[in-house]
Amino acid sequence: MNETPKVIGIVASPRHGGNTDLLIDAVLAGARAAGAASEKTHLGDVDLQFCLGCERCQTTGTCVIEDGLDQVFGAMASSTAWVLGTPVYVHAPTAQCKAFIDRWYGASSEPFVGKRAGLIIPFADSNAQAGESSRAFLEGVLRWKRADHISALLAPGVWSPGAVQTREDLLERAREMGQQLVDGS
Amino acid sequence: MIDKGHILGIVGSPRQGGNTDVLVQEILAGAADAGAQTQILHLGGLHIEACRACNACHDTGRCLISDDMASVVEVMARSDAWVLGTPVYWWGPTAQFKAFLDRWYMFDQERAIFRNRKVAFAIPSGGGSSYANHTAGILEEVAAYLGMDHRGTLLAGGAGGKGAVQGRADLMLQARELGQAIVR
Repeated sequence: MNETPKVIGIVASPRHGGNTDLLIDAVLAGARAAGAASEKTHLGDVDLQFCLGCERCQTTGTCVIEDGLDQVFGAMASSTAWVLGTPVYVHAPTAQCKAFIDRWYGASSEPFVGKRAGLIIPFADSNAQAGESSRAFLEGVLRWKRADHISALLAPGVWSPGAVQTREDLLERAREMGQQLVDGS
Repeated sequence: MIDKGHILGIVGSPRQGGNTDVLVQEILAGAADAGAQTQILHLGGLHIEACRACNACHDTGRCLISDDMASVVEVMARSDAWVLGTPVYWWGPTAQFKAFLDRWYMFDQERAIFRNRKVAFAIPSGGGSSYANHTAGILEEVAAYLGMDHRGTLLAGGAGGKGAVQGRADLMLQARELGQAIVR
């Protein structure tokens, strides 16, 4: 029996309706057009605490912090693919995104291994180079966690909240990513 | 007595007594050797929230978030130099440190707090120093962008166990010398 594929969108921007959010929406729309179900989580709405560096997870396999992380991991584990979006703040992913990733330290393999993974990285600078270090960082983390078919969309030159609405080129590429996350192509 | 200035150390590790803490303290000890007053703050012991990107700071000049950042900013503003330390977590600064850094956006329109401000970075990493490249790149680009007077970056690769860097005489000496250099 073929289960309906599911794609999870994870928004690591604090804004609702900002460029990261809108591009994730476009990815999810592309995924639905390809027959998948979709869900979206805003990390800013999840109680997500900073890693304490206590190393307990390395001996017990579980994190001592009880917060909203398990819910996000559960959604990722149940998915076919997920897409993580973060704007570039101060030359790097947001603190919200980094808080999430720091907590991957002791995580089990289920949310990651073999999941098709997409990255959405909007930023104000019109030079695409300004997003490259964030892309390299995030792709490195995803490879380390053994995600599959890692793809990334850099979206330079979007500054005002929602500016990407007039960038059909970027929205189209986001929709294509959504389709690829379902097809694995 | 000649005023040699006030040097602020900020530890972006959640751990007290870990390698970042040890190195920042050693840099401050070097600064004290050179006659400066020093102070250390641990982000892990402070409540500093992530930026909400609401832009209120640029519209009103004030950040909407009521947390410990205001008191940190007050100390930053009266310090002649900042010694900023973060371990490498996943090739980057800790989330605690990134939250602190993202909040610098509140100063964006008046960059006076940064211009010519002396700054040094301490970046220990469990693996080799190459794991610190992304972190050092972020911090050095930010310092250059904001017109800061960057006095040096201490990379401390291979500092695995908590506080292990205390056994690395070479790194401890580099830290002490960086502290002296930041006072000059």
